Amino acid sequence: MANTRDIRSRIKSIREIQHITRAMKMVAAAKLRKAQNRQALSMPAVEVLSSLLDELLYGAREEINPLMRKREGGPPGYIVITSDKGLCGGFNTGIIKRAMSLVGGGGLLVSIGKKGNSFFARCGLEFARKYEDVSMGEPKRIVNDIAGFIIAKFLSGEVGFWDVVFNRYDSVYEQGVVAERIVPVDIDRQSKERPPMYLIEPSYLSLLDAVIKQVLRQKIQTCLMKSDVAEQLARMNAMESASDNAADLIDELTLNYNRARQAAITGEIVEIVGGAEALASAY
Amino acid sequence: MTSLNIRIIKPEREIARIDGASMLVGESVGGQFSILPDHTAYTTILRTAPMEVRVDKGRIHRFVICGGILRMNKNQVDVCAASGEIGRDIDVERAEAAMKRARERLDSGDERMDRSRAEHALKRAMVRLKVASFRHG
Repeated sequence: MANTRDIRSRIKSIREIQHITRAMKMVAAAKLRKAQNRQALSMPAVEVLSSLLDELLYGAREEINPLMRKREGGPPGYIVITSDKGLCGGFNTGIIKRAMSLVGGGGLLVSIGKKGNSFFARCGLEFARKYEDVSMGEPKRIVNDIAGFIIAKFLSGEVGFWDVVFNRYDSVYEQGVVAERIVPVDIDRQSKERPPMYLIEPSYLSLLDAVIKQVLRQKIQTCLMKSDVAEQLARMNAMESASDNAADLIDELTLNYNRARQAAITGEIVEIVGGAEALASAY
Repeated sequence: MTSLNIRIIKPEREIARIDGASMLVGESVGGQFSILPDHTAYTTILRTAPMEVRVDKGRIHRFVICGGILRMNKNQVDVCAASGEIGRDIDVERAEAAMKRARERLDSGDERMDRSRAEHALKRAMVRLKVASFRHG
């Protein structure tokens, strides 16, 4: 059995680790709230833009805008969102696994997040574009950059469609890795009711084009925000279970420690009693 | 009397909500326009320009709108700007610095410079300064 001093020092170090994981959990919880807040604040823009697009698409056919044209069998394009930081449980493994199964068949890869970047680089995959520290830098510029890139690649015919692969957390029942098609724009989303007769300036086609592009940017931004929420949640859960595991370990080690301490005391008593008896029988 | 209910939204959040407005003046790609209550359903592409919302008693709310889309239906106006700012929140020093930077970039004649981006930055800074100037006079 390990000696009491060793056990005591292990308990001490585990307790220190527990302090850290607890603190990290609190930080993740605060960041989660912020991320959820940000996402909620962006909802008005999402709603207005997508309802306007639905209205504009009323009765439309897919040839009307090049970004709506479906192509059979074009090479795929994927935008994969991972985290910049680790210690978030299975957050990145889930996306990377999904992304590898998708990208394995070829296609263009746009990677966002340090974890994905380093993993894909190790696998020898080629990046069409890669980004890091999106939330620290200028998210808007990056979103515009990505949108410009994927539009150009789609219009030139190098890519048949673009999917965003990311983690989402909408509710307990709606979570996990999803691949969301963002280009071409789905024509079936058009509104079922006849929209108001808008007076449109400068023209229907140029307005539709502007709206589609803005919706696309908004969608990329939303995916980044959702991924951020899921990341903070994953980190919070990971840190919570780490703290729980540390508590279990401490309990177990404390039991061992008390046992070892008791054994040592018993041993000492036996020695004293044995010594006393030996002395008594000697006289 | 009918009035306009206006929401000004940028991608990150709603920046203003004004109910009971009597007029909105903005600038679309086709030029300046104004909307009065009971205007027909209307949608347009906005340019980087100032936007004014007049409320009764002559009060005017000013905004900087950097591109985007406006939709109006049944006196509900949604301005979905690519980016935007409330007039009174404008940081004049920052806008002046941005204007100077953009001018220097345009004057430098650097080959690698993204000309349209620099021009856009200059335009944005000029609009911000213009809107900010109303605060003091």
